[in-house]
Amino acid sequence: MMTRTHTALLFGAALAVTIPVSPLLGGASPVYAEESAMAEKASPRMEMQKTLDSLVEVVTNHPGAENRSVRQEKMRSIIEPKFDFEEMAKRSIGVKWKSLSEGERTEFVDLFSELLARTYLGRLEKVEKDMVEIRSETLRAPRALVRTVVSYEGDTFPLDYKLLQGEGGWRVYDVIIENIGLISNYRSEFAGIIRKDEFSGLLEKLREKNAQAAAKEAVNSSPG
Amino acid sequence: MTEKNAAIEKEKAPKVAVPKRTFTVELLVGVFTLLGVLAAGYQAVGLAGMSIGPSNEYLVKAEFDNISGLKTGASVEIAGVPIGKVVEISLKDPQAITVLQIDNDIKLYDDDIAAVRTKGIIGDRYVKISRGASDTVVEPGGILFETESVVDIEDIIGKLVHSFGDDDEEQTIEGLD
Repeated sequence: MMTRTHTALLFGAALAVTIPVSPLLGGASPVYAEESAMAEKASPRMEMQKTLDSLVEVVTNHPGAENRSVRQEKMRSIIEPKFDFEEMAKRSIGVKWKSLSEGERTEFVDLFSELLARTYLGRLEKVEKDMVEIRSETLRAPRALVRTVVSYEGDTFPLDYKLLQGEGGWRVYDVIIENIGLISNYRSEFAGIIRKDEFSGLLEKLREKNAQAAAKEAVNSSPG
Repeated sequence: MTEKNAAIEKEKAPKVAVPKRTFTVELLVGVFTLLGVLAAGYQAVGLAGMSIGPSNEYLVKAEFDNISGLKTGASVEIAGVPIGKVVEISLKDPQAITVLQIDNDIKLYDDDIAAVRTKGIIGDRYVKISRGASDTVVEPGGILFETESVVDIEDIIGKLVHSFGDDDEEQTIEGLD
């Protein structure tokens, strides 16, 4: 039971990575242009629904292990424009951000985005139609909160997204599962690592984690 | 007769143990009494958790989904150091609105996270502020947007989701796949 709930939660976290349509997926470009113009006015809730729909589409159109890389590539291109990885990284590392150089910031943001993508992309593949129900949205420019409920293997749990409105439209900067915020959690974890091993130790740990995830992925995608 | 009496009175007068009444002694006694009363009053006000005089604090609002167990007077802390307290709790259905009173010399920024947490084994709730990286100050009367509600035990399972070192857990999940 514990493991099942856990799986469900992990899956939910994967859905963290969810919002509008990317040019790569949009098909004909005139259609995309139109959609993008609409997206400017679209509410975060509508954008979220669109992203979910396109993710479901990708998953249903590219099933099976043999399509794994194509599928993941497409999912990544849907998700990436909708997440503000720099904001997430900045908020996660907290005060330390202010004392980092431009180069260190870039390196950290890259490693952190990679970690998030690797951690959650795999879970996202399990998305199905009607699995995620958008319950409400609260707008307080430039912020928005979209509440959803995810049903997975008989369990349901709340999954909320916090978004910021920027030049690229609404982008997610925090995901909250059952009252636990992703940023808040990483913030305390990173602070602990920095206190012990300095910033370089944190980078090292992120690299290590990414390498492990990559190795695992390689094992999973190899036949047998 | 009266003269005699007066004379007797005069003779007697110094014998009666009437202290020499002077203005300064009375004034001093009065002043000390007054000081005593004021000090007691000040203590009482202090004990009651109120304050007198110009305010050294400012107020900010924070909205939570669930603050179960948090009471007015609960402390607001950064790194375990009290920097203010909860002065008001109200319901804006379905959310809880809290008003936090923060010491003037502490500035809050718009990506600071306010989380309702449990102190010690007995389980007093308090508000923990974790610092972000923003330079945008939350002005007095402003709203602290980033909040985290009370965490139930079941929710802790969710915490594993974002955790850094749960390789074993991940393997279980891979195994299930």
